[in-house]
Amino acid sequence: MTSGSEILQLIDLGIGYHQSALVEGINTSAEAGQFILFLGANGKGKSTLLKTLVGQVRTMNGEILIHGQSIILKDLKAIARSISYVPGKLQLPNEVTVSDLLQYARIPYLKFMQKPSIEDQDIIDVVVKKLSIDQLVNCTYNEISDGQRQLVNIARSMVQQTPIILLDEPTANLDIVNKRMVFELLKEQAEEGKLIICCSHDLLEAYNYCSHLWIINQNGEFESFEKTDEVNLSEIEKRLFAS
Amino acid sequence: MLGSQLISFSDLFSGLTEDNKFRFILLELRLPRVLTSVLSGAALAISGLLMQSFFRNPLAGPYILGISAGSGLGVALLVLFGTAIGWELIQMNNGVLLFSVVGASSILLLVMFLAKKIGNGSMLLIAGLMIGSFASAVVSVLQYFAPSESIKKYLLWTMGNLSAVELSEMLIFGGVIVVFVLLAFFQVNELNALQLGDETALNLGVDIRKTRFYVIVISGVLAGVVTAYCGPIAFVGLAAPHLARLWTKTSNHFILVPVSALLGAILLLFCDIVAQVPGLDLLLPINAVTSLIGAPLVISIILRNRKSWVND
Repeated sequence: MTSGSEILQLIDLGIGYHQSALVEGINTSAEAGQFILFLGANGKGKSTLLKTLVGQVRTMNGEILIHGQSIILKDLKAIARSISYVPGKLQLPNEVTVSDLLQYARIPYLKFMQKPSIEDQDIIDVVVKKLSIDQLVNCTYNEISDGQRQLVNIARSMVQQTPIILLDEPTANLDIVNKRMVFELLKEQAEEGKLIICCSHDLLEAYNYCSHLWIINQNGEFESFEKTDEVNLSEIEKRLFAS
Repeated sequence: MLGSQLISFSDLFSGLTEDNKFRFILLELRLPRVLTSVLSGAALAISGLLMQSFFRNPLAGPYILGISAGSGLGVALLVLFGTAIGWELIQMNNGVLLFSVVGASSILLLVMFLAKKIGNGSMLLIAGLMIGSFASAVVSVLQYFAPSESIKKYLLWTMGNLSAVELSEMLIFGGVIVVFVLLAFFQVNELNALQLGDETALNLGVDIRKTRFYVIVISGVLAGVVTAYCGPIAFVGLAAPHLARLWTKTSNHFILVPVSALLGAILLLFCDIVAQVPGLDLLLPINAVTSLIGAPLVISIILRNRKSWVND
């Protein structure tokens, strides 16, 4: 079953809060280089699944494997080096600068009391240059625009150097230009070998960029499939919302 | 050097080298007082910084979890209730210390117990506030029934006292503070992550429950030990971390921890000098002076920095 490039496997996974299940029997796997667009109506459990994958919410049953190893067996730092999570909105204290935030993204790699090294700074510099956010690094996170913040959030996950990047509605509140910029950047990251799983309600925009889809349909069932010519947008919308 | 008894520089020198009356004032009275101010200031600043960063709340301070209220309750039980049933036998100074430590530790243990049960940070904060209010209410009831002489003793304790630590006790007092300030410094990476929010901190591999336990213990012990010896010293623990943030303009705890400690020490030492009103035979309550100096200082820095807040 397992091929070499499968980095994430969900086996009979059940998610939810406390004892009430939102979605059960999730079976899927994902490979490096995929850009998965994750769709579902509000309250169906998209965010919960993402939070379960990063360990914020406990699994109800089933297993999550990263590189074939169950995340329960991994320590928190090892998970932090495998999956980065970009929340839709990050609320930060006023003093936190973009440069601080990028430095803190190296914490999973630091030992006890260790400061980020020159190598860590080099990793940050490469990402900053790649995303052309040089002029932002000395700004505080709260003073830059929403679009710039999303760029910085993605930069943060790149600095964290994880093979898997999860995003919870990264394009909410963005204008069309910024939306495209974000999806373009995520597609690029996938092409460079990362696994991108992105929750979004921007179906029309995001659809052009993704390679695979995850859906929680109106019956609360999980489906995953590749984007092909046979699955068109109206078909997807039907599965999501049709009564 | 500065205090109600004026000592000139030449007397200072002779006091340090020869045995005279200045030597007594300097070594037995002023040196312990200066050390107490510096250590307490640093301890309260770190205690406050930990609470502010951990709860991501600028209004948090060393006493937010009810530590000083617990201390106050202990002292109130002794001074107000104890005297009523004829507990004058207890030596007042050591008795106050003992009851204060017991009060603060009980509250700390209670908060730690609650922290294990309550997952949510802001709910824990509210629980801490409730504990504090509860303890203060018990104190009010005790005060209502206590004789006025006892009430005065209690009130004096609440005004703070930086000359309560004798040179012989300095080793314990200073030792505990130095050790726990160092322990706070061990948490810098975790604190840097935690101020980004629990979600992000967890995604950076920080064990939130473990860190929370450390932060509460370190902050609680620092606040507790200062309150036990010196009474509830107001404001320094709230102001010093803000001053450190506003001054250094950083969120990095590698810098904030030492700078807050330093500013806390300087702030309390300065307040103590003012409280002693150099040259006059007068001593102001330290608790009043810290707020009289600290409040305008913080407001003035906020005003000077307001430009950077425009985009909020």
